[in-house]
Amino acid sequence: MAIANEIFDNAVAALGVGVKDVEARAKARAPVRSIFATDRYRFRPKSISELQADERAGFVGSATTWRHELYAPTKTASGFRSSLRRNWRQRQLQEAEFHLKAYQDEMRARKLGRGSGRLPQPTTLSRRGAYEVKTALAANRSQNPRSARWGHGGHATVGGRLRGEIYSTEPQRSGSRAEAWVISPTEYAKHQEFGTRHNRAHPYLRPALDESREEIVSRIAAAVREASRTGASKMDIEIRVRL
Amino acid sequence: MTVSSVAPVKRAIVQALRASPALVSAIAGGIHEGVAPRKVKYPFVVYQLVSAPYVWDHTGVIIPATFDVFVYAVNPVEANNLDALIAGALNEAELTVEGQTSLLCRRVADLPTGPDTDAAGKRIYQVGGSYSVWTSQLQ
Repeated sequence: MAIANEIFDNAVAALGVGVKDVEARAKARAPVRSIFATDRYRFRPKSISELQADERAGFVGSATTWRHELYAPTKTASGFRSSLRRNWRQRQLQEAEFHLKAYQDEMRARKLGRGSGRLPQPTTLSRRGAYEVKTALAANRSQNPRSARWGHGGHATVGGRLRGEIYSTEPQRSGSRAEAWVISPTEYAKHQEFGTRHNRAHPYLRPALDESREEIVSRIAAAVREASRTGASKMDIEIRVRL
Repeated sequence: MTVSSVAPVKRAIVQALRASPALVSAIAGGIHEGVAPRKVKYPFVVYQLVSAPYVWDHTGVIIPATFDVFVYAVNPVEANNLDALIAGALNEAELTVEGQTSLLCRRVADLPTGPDTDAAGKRIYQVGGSYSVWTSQLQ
């Protein structure tokens, strides 16, 4: 009996490892909105030294000066005050609007230039990104600035709430059964998983499970085999991996 | 060994759906992949690939693909009836997949979706199921 318990413990431990794997795969597959047309571009608010350099260079009529003028810094004994640092989020928003304007200008030019042989120019924002900036969805998305960054720190995406909220539970035993769950509690998780009339599905939980199924079963089988090398009596184990 | 992708499986599923005259006559809006265009008549069918992992062994590769097939209709009874027709067309169907051998095609789950509202404010019903389609390609 003790040996059977040991085998079951090993199987449950292997299940715990397997469910973490499913969680990781689900997070990797979970859709996250990207607002950039290319993943190599990043928004980066200009540093204070760059803004000071712009001011010294006397740039006029550019976004640089435009942003600078909005946040007219005050001088202190050490130079410009760090009020610009405190306004970094607003600076990001302003920079996003600058790119939105560039996107809109390009789309207008494409429309007017149809048939004239004008080559379309690449835009920084994707079509989705322009929508996000225009509707201020990205700006209003989160109370936490970290999850609403536009390119700062290397992020090319907005949000990430769906991905961030995926979690897994430890295996729970009940009698001769053990269960572990991977849960995506976000209220729109099912809309992403199954799709709606307006948006196609972006399945992430089921593909994660499908890809991990064989691995989980073989991991549990290996754990059972290892534990039963001590010469346990015959034991039946049924493994079900399901959504 | 040349391995073909899951694209022929998608074609085979659409062919199987179109092979049912009752279904074809009932679907006014057609069959779409992923998402239907905005101005499409109800009812219509949408299918979506969920996963298609490749399982290799010494004989070749098996693709145990999973597809979702949904019906969108303005009437829940109509949606359920069409879903039953789709299940009849696909469940245990012998699919003709180009370059692959169809091993099984089976409905494995009903999908939990409720009523929704479209862009025009019309109440619509999304009913469907998941289908497991296994195909093999031998070396």
